[in-house]
Amino acid sequence: MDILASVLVPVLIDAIAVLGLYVISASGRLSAGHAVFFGIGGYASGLVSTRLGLPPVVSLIAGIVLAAVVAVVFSLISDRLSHWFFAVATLAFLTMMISLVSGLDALGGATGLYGIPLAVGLKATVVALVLAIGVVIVFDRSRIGRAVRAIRDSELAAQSLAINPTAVRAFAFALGAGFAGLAGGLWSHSIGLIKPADMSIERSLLYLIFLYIGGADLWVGALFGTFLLSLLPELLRFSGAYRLVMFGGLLTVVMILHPAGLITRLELDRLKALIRPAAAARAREVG
Amino acid sequence: MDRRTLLAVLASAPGMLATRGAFAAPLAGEIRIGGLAFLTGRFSSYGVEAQKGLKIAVDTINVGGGILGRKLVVDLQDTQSDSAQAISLLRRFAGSDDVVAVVGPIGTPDMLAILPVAAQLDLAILSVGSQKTMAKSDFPPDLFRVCLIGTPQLIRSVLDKVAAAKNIKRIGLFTDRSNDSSQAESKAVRDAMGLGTGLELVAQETYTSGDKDFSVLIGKMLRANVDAMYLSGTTNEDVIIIPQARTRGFKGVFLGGATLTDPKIVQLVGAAAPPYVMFTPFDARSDRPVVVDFVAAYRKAYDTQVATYAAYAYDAVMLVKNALIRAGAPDRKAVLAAMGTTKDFQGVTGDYSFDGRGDNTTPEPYIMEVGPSGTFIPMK
Repeated sequence: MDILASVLVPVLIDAIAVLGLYVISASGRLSAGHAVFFGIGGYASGLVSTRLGLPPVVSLIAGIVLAAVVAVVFSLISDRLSHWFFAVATLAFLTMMISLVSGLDALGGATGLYGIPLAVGLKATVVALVLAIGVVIVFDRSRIGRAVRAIRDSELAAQSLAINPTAVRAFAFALGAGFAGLAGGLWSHSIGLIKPADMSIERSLLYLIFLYIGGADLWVGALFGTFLLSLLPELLRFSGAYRLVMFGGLLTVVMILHPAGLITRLELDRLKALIRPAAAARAREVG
Repeated sequence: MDRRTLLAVLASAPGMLATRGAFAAPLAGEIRIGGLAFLTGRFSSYGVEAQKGLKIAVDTINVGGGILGRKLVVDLQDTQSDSAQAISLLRRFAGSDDVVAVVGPIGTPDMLAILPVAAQLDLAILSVGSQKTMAKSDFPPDLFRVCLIGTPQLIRSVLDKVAAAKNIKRIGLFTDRSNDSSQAESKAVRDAMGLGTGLELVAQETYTSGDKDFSVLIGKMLRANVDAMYLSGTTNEDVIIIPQARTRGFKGVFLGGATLTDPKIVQLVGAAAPPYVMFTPFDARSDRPVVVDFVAAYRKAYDTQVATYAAYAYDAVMLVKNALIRAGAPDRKAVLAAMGTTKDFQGVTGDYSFDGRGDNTTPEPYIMEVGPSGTFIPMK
């Protein structure tokens, strides 16, 4: 794997996980423990590969499915929790899972699961990201995607349109968790191991920062935030332990100046106007 | 965001990509080796010591005219106590054609993590300070270790000597269950007991990195009437366990391997340390010329006690130099081949010979204890 690949593969994997967080946020929920599904996917993929000897594609699917199933169960149990309480619940779930996994010798305990086949490189992660973007675009334009946003905007109004909020929220949460599970599986197959430390509060926090700095309104914002904030540390590798301090400061500034993130629908419209001013003018005239 | 700001952010992206990473391009006339060490994070005390050893080695080599007439440069990168970082950085070194060898990573967790990746590279990698007992067949063809391996046989020999010298009969064993190295060392201690020593392992307690209160575990050890506590964990917890045990009335011996040789432990626990015994391949008081020169250079630069991990890192760089000279050229494959045929290289942590890959075939341990002035002296 050359230098470019070694830099980009983790970034692309993170982008897939953050796309999952974007889907979840579309339902109005804040998942502060998103890394738990990353870990579930990673461990599931690792176990299927190492213990059952199945091919990486199968193990990745196993990671996606297990993460989604766990997410559905969690969503149904915590459905009545509102915004911040739900976020705390996801954090608690993450903490619980870290402790559980660290104590299980069958999963390698605190030191993790080694010997996972190195089967994922740059091509595989690019393909996975493209597929993930495709799924997100279909989700955004689909009826279920509109239902998810309807729930976020007004649950009462959505119910009056015969939308089942519990089912729709569970679907969005499962879909988002599935993305994270895929990212975890790709991660475990790219470095050959998965550890409890891979599903950390720090990783969850970073994913939230990537999403909200980039812009949670559009999937493009999620990608933009991930790429921007992942590549910056490569230039600032000396920052080491102060990376989160830097990100925290940046998040604070962005939240003050651009509460909706760097890429919003408004920014996208402005970008379109920059690139195709004539078309934008015609659109304004028509509008 | 206004138009100018947006354009500026987007325009900077290609620049960021173009300048990705912090790997400096080599100058003509330089030989570059990669370095992997945890300079931040929970294992950083060992990495920082290793960094000192690396620097002494590089300075010594370059003052002496370099290698093959060229200046040696070590491109040291911080693995941040994160195995995934170690893997990523190793891959980047492998992708840089001018890197002829890699010193590091440090410790067992990162060494285990890079095993699958190392198997795909033709690049001499000298793992530093990893003590886990491994069969030669477990090593990829390009991985070597600079470390005194705590095999059950070696630990048994050490325990027998310590038992006789310090009149010890009952041992308690502390293990950090979140650390591969600690688990490996503890396993070796249990296996050593199984080989038959004059000692009895009467208590075994585990903890997790980051734990702060060991009073319950220490209490169990004391109720088991241990004469000695074997500490297989790292500095962060050792500096808490030792004073807490002394406060609760433990007057026996603290025992351990290379991780106990961190001078910071003794500095931080002070008078609570002795009696404190560890086995190590490095004796700063040795009269061997290589050791005398190394210690003099180290004390001149840092004016502190020399840590074993600094000595390991020094030897690792010197082994690369030795291989480069025998290879005759800064060619990765030639260096790798030469490293595998290293014979009787006189390092500060002992004489090194490699048989193709893996561990030093001629290890020699010293048993040291903390003396009255807080320095490490041979055990009486």
